[in-house]
Amino acid sequence: MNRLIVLIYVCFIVLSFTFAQADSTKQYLLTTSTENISLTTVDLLDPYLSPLVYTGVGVGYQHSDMKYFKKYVGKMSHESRFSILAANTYNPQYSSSVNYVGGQYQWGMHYHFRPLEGLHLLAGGNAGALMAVKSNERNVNNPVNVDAALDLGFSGIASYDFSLWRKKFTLSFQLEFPLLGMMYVPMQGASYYEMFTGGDLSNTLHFSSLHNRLARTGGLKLEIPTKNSTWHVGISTTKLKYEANDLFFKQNNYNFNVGYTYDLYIFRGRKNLPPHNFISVKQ
Amino acid sequence: MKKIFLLILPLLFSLNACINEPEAPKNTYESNFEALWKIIDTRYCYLDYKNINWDSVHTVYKARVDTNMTEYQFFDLLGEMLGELKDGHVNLYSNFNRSRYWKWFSDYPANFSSGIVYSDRYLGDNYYVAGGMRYGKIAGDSIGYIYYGDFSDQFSDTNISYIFKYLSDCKALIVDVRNNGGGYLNLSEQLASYFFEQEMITGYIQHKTGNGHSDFSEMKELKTPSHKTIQWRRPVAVLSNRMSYSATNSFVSRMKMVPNAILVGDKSGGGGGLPLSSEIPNGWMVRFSSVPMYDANKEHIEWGIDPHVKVDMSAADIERGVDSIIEKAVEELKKRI
Repeated sequence: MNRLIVLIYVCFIVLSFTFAQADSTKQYLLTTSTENISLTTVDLLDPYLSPLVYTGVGVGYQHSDMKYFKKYVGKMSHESRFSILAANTYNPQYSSSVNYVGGQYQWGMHYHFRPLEGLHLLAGGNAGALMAVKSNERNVNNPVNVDAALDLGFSGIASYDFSLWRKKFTLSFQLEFPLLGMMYVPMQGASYYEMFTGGDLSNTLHFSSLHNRLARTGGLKLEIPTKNSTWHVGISTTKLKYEANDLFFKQNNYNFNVGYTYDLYIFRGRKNLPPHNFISVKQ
Repeated sequence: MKKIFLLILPLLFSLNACINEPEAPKNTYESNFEALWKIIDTRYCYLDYKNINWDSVHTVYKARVDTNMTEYQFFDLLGEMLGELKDGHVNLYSNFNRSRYWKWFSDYPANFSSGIVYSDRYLGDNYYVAGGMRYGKIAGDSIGYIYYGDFSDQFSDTNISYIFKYLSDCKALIVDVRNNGGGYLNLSEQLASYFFEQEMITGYIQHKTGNGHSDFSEMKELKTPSHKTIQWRRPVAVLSNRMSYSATNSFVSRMKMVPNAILVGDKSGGGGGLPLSSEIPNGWMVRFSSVPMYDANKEHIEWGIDPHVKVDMSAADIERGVDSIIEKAVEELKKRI
């Protein structure tokens, strides 16, 4: 990790320096990337596996990239985000466990407002795909269930810059929730033999909206500039509940987050070639 | 944009009420009893077929729940209640015991002696083992014999290919699945596929779609494919006894459809309902039949499959070290060679 940070920092310094030399008046769109790891407590209710709430601890990782659209600099940006979470949860009596491994990809757009000095509001929407596998090894013929969903939702961020000890800190709050989409929910009485060996997936795909799927992801983050990079710490929660096929599912994640943010200029494709004094490993 | 956001936010929170979150059950003897009773009431698949009055069972057993019982006594009471289902696929699991119903085989003749099967008259000491199958040649090397005792023991096409190659000079084959209590259903399908010349509908399956005792999905065909490259097309006898249960019962049901196959021995043990699992608030797991399976005539296979030739092992034969069922199978196969 330290090597990666050093490498990114070196890239950033070199880029800043050479850009400054190359053309100090031309504007370049940087990609703001954030790496985040989290320690998460998980509450999980999956009635296909068990009618009891399982609780446990997990670890997560998230990478996100934000960048302005070329034509809407300062007004509209896009964001792509990939996150994974692995958790091990137990029933209240610790006699059985459910392992959770899930990943989510989201792509969204934000409109930027700056109503007050230091206050930055972003509001927009995103589209996402979630895929998670939950396994209960004690079960027979229903040992695994899948959380699979495609969502369109709202995304908003409010951030406030303030100075303390002659440093500029940023406090930000983020809120997201899905509005509609599709989700997979198994029939409670159906075995995986029928579904995946027999290919009977009837009544497993459902239209989802606020009437049967509610989720909220919210978090508070403090960005702390250090000598070499910008770190952040924060807390966040993800609350999800949905129902279909007479089954009610629930998952609450409470995260403690740590990570850092950096800006990159990315050269790619045929049109966006680097200047000659930028050396790629392909050269 | 700000107005839209302010409109959506309260809407989101107000719609929380649209999803009714079930109340978390308490961990008391009474709520554990109710939870178990309800799981069976809503998800067990044979209450109507077996003509069980589950409400009456509730009345009788609920009256026996006493807060002063020990955990062992409470476990025994719940196990006794589950015994009313007369189902080998129904078990209650705790950290100190597993309830079970074994009368589906214990009330019948054993019809199997491993000592005789592994005697020199049959497999002897020098049999081969591949993928959980023990095989050799019997009856003067004219009949191939495979003993497969557990459908949880994985085998591959390569295993079967080698077994059939070794037995290629045998004129008929015996597949002995006595005392095979089941395992993976897909292995039952795979093993049967080596004996089918073409894909056939060999059964049906359905599942519970609601809480009512008769809320089932449409029956869906269960097909047994024909293996593309590995085939046994000579006469074959399948030996079963009452301990041929669950996935083994399904295998016997499939093999009954093979034109040159005969079933010899005792009626298989049954176990036609694919079991699923759930648990009650104190963490005890319950396994129960939830997905009923049927034969090609849409008849339940919960109580077992009748053989073509019914044979019990006689005491006199056992005394002489003779397996009456294998002998009968050899006799029947020789008629077909």
